[in-house]
Amino acid sequence: MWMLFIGDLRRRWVEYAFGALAVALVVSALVTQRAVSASAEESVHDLAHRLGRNMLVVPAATDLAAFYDQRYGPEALPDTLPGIIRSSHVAQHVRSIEARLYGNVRAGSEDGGVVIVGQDLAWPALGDVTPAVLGTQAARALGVGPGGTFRLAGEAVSVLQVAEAPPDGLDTAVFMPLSAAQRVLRRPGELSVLRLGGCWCRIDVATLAGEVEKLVPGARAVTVAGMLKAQKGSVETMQRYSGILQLTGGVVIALVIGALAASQARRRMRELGLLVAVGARPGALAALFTAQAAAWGAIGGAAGWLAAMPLTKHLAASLLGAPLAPSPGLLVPAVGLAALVSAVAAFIPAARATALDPTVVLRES
Amino acid sequence: MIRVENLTKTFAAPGGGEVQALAGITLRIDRGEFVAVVGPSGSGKSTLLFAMGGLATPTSGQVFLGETRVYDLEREARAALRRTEVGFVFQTFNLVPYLTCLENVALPPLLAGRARADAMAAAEAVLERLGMTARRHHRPAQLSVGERQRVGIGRALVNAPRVLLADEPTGNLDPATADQVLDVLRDLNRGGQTIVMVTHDLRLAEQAGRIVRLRSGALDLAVPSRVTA
Repeated sequence: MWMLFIGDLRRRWVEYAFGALAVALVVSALVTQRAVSASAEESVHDLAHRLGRNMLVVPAATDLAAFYDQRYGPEALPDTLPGIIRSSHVAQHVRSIEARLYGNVRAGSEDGGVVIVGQDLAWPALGDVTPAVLGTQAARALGVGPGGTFRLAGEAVSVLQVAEAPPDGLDTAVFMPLSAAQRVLRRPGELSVLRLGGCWCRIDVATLAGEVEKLVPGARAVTVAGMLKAQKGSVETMQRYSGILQLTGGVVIALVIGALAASQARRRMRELGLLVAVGARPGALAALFTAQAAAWGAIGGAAGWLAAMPLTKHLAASLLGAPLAPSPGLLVPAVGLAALVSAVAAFIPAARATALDPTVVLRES
Repeated sequence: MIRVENLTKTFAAPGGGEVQALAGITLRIDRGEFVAVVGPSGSGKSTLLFAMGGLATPTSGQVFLGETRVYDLEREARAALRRTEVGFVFQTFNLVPYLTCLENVALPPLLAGRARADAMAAAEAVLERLGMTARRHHRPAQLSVGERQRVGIGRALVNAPRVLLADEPTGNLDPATADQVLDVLRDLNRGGQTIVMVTHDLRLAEQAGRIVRLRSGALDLAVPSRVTA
């Protein structure tokens, strides 16, 4: 039987190649969509992990996507805000308030510059020199190490530590006292965010966020729970459409392979009639047709997975701004499902072809 | 060897109604016979041949191959019977175009589950017997029509069937090539091979051991059915 399979493959390789190409196109689209969707899901989990259960209070005009991409705008809150909150009725629910000012500055050799993060924490006093903690990339860009000093916008800065794991993973950041950051960034009296921490077990977080917003006009309280809800909603929508997309892809594969199998069955009718006449079992012939289609599908599935690599890379770079590749774990499902769908699609024309009366077929020939 | 008892076969006519292809045929063919089945077009010759080979299920009646009631067998068992007990030769050869002569001839033993080397050796032996060894690696399109029919006969013979059923084996051949093919069949018959050949060519039929005439699906008994071989 394999002799027939190989012989037919060699004779009609263009047709086989077309079938495999059609499957490959569909599979590459599905694998790319799955990789991007999985990456979006992972990024939500990653964000949740980084932010914990804090509440973020930002100026209402803040572009959060740019904010999380470390691109900070001029939007500001007054630095009197922590005091306002501490003296208000919401203070009973708030355990900690951390005010921060963020800003991008071009400094050192790093193309994108460094990020200044001003924090109102208990920094050590070093006289006229500003203490700072640097992320490793920031240290490299500024060409300094622990104990080293450098100048930033006229400010003398001393490096207390180069942190391998800086807060929030901000590797390009120079963490310094809030007042120093306001001087360096020339934004006196301004804040970018307030990070509120607390036990919100006995109060609805969304209600608390509403109270904070009422207290500070022009501010927006962003809760992790709310962000997660919105992003999970987006991911769920993407996954729902991904199900429809996968189903559509499966139907397309089935139609292409089914049509090719039916066309082959029609053209090979005489051959099939002959094989039945010389004693081939119709079931074995149908299995041969089905196996041929499954081979189409499997080859197309593997090619599709390979084609998805550059496609995913390109799409991820343009949509997510991050390097991404399809998981190797998708190879087996891609090949297996493409082969299965192709086999199922070919089975009906194969079974019909081999069930024909060979005497009619042989006479017509 | 082959017994056909009261065989009828009815087809549904395209415009409605029925066409009776075989109308109660009873026939016996002994081991080693060479029988030619003749008759006008539509007389049921090929239907009878296919029914004898287990390919066309009759409407009623029985076909015995040896002691086996062919149509009492399940579909799979009938396929097995065709693989080993029956060899078909067709007017249009019906060779698989993308296989070589050797591979075409090796198909039946491969389908019967024999090892590839064994099947190829059997095919080589048959092609040698038919004088086709030099052409064994050629594809059908590279052969003359007479050579193609020799390959077709080789494929029918390779599993050493009890009976060779030939449907107009010379129908596509010129007279000289037809004679050559008939010589092959006569040689096989002289070697003990039972052959049933459908033909519309009385000149060729007369070279068989017995002639069976069909008219409108029934045996035509108005003329003598045996001639000198």
